[in-house]
This record gives sequence, C-alpha cells and structure tokens, in this order.
Amino acid sequence: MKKDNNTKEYFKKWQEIKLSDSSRARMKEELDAYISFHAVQGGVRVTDDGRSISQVPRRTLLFPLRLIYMPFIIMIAVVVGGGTSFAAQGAVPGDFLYPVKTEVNESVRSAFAFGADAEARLQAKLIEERVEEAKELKAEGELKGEAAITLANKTKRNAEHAEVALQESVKAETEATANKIIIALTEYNAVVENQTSLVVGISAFEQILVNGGFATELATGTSTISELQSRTSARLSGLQSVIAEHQADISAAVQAELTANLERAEELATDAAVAIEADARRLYDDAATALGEVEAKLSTIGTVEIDTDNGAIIDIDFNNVPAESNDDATTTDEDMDEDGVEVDVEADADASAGDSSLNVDGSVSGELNI
Amino acid sequence: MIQSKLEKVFADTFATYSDAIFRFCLIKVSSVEQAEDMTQEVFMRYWQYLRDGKEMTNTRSFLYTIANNLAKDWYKKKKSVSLDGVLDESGPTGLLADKKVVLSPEISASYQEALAMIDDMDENDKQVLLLTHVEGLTPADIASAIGETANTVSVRLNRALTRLQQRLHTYEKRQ
Repeated sequence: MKKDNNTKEYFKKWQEIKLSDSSRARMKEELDAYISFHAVQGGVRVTDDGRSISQVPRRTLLFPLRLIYMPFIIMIAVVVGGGTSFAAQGAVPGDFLYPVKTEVNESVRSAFAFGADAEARLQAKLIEERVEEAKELKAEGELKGEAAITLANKTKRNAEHAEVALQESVKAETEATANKIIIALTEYNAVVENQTSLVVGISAFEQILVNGGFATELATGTSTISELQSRTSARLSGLQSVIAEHQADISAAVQAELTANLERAEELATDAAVAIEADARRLYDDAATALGEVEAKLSTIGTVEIDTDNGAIIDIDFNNVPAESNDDATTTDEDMDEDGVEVDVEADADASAGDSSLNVDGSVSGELNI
Repeated sequence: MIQSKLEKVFADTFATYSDAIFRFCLIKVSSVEQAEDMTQEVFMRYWQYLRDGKEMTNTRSFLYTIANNLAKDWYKKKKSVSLDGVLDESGPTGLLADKKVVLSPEISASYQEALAMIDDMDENDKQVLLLTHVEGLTPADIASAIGETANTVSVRLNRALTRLQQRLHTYEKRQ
C-alpha cells in the first residue's frame, strides 16, 4: 500500500498539531516546580520508598563466616594460649613471651580486679613483679638497651594505672597500697641504678599520701628531719614563686585561700625548725598537709609541672586545664557555698578539690575553711 | 550535582518530545485540555524515573509507554463517570463537538481541519498511523510502547492506511 498525495497531506497536517505556546509555557513552569519539589535527595538516588539503590551491601558472606568460626578460634586460643600464658609468667623483658605476660596475662588479671582498691593492689603487685624482673635482668647482665627501656615503660605504665586507681580508692586501702608502691618503686629505681631514662617517679604516690593525710606515717618512717625540712622548704618556695609568677591567672578568692594555706605551712615549718624531733615531725606533717592542699588546688586549675626529686611544683600551665576539673562542676559542697561569689572556673576547682575522695575526712576540709 | 544534570536532560527531552506526546494524547482522549493535562502527567512520571535512576534504553518509546498507560487509566475513569452522565450527553461527540474545549486563537484553521479529519477515525488506526507516519517510529518501537507484538502492529498499520485512504477520497469528494 502506497501513500498517495492526500495521505501525505493528511499526515503533514497532523504533524502541525502542536502544543500552543501558552500551553507549553504553562506546562514547563508547572513541571519545573514539580521537579524542584521532587528533587534528587541529597545527591543519592532513592526509590519511592526512600531506599537508596547504591547502599545495598554486595558482599555479606565474609562477615557471617567469621562469626561462625569465632567460637572455634576462641577455643583454640584458650587451649593453646593457656599453656603459653602460664609459660610466659616467668618471662623477662627481651624474652619472646614477655609481651604475652605483660599484655595478655596482666590484662586478664586487671579485668578480674574489681574496684579501684583491687586494681591499685594489683598494680602494686605488678610493680613488685617489675622489680623482680629488673633484678633478674641485672643478675644476667641484661639490664640495658631495649630490655631496660621496655621494663621502664612497663613500670611507668603500672605506676600510672596505680595512681589513677589510688585516686579513686577508699581511704583505708590507699595508705597501705601507696606505701607498698613507694617501697617497690624505690627498690626498682635502686636496681636500675638511677639512670634518668629508666627511673620511675615516686612523688605522685607521696603526694597521694600527703593529700590523704597519711604523711605522718611517711614522716615518722624513712625520712630524716633534715630531709623533711628541705622537702618542705622546696615545696613551699616552689609554690610561692609559681603563685607569684601566675598572679594574673589566679582569681583573688582562690589566691586568698592559697596564700592562707601557704602562710600556715610557712609558720608550721618555721616552728618545726626549732622544735624537738617528735614535734618537728608533726609540724612538718601539718605543713605538708597545707602545702598538699595548695598543690591539689593548683592542679585543678592548670597543668602542674612537678620536680621529680622533691615533689615540689615548679611551674603551672593555665592553658591546659585538666579535663577532670570539669567533671565535678555540678557537685557542690560546703566550700562552694562559702565562696558563692566566685565565677565558674574557681567554683569548679573548689568542688573538685573538696570533692576528692581523699579529702572527705573532716580534718582536711576543716583546714580548707580557715 | 545530579539534580542539575538531570534537570538538563529533562528540559531537553521536554523540548524534543512534548509535541509528539501531545499528539499521541490527543488521539487517546477527546479534548485538547485533557491531552495537555495528560502530556504534563507523562513528563512528571518521566521525571520520577529519571530521579530514581531507573534505566531507560529508549526515551521516546518510554514516553509513549507512559502515555499509553495513562490513557488506559483515563478510559477506566471515563467509563465510570459516563454512566452517570450518559443521559445528559446528546448530539455529536468528539474533539470539536466538545463544547468545553475553548480553542486558543493560536490554533489555526488547518489545525482544526486536521483535528476534524482524525476525529472520526478508529482509535487504534489513528494510533498506529500517527506513530508511524507522523512520528516516524518503527513497528517494533510501537509494539513495545503499546504492548503489542511487532507483527500485530504491522498488520494493523496496513489496514489503517487503507481505511484512511478510502476515507480521504470520500472526504475529497464531499468538498
């Protein structure tokens, strides 16, 4: 069938049927509004029910497989690793199994030490183990190089964990554990022959004893009167110079409190210098408590730098406020109520200093309120 | 951005195919107004497909398919409506007889003439003739658009052309 002229004419006319300009313009306008309203969502193509096409996971086999085998992997680890970790218990730094001992075994022991007291006791025990390791290495003539550094790092880490745990532990437990740690660390430092890079600081634990009001034990113990005197004067002068240096950064209310404690400590130290030994120990002890308050306060409003020899604060950085000072921001106690006019930062510091679990006992906070 | 890229595609498609889709709609429904609405609806659906990232191998065939499906829906609706309105309906029906249609001045005399000619043809005939001889689709394209086999389309096309030519002869004689 061929198209004749009429038919061609007909189709031509048909082709002339078009949208009128006005209709087309209106339609375009409405469609533009439609497509911007029903726009592509967030650059991700989505289906009508909101599912993203491209987010369908393609390979899901591997992960379930791993989960299925996990019990077997754990069983193997227990059967094989049980013997290994037992064998590792006698390892010293430099041994193949030493990492198993320190990382695996001690993590497990730490996981079973419930509460801060148990954790602190465990860390004390671990520091004693470090001392044994140090002695063993020294006996073999291997306390040098990599092994010595590894040992020092482990000891430092145990000491840090112990310190954290002691801050949280209850008072009755703190004293014995802190003393144990001090003795162990002193022994360790003696074994490593006071090599600066290997020595682990003890002052933090002495500080804990001082803050907790346990300094009597320390004072009547190993230190001589002259040691107590020099330590007290070093801490006192250190604090005085630090506070004088950073006068601008410390608010008047806090400064008044700090100065009151410092003056009290100075008086006590002066009295102690001329007193008989028994009284002197008690006076230095009281002075240490007062100084401890000042140091605790300073450490809540800035990052303090401590002289490792005598535990004195030698500098303070106000740009780097310890995070924990804000943790107690919401808690209030009697100190805060008395200093109600203080601005936020000092209020935090007060709450923090007063709230410290070591200070809940009346004797210390009584001194704070002078 | 995907949105702006797709908007460009959409604008191009609308410029190219809006008249053709309008003509197709016009033979499916019996008024210019409804054909315009349907054309708009076709492009709205086209946008939804674009936006959802669905695959389209042939845009033109796809547009006709949408239009054809819309027309089917329209017939179903019309059927249920006309049962109520059947008693009121009297006199001639069709594109030009529809008194509700107000033709704009832009619509020329020849436009009206063409409308008059296609008006009294069988719808299936109009459909295949339009798509083949006006829009230039192949029987295969038409088949996919209206859901028939290519063979059926070819047969229908031949018969439609014969009928058209017969009609045009009588039309000419009447003039």
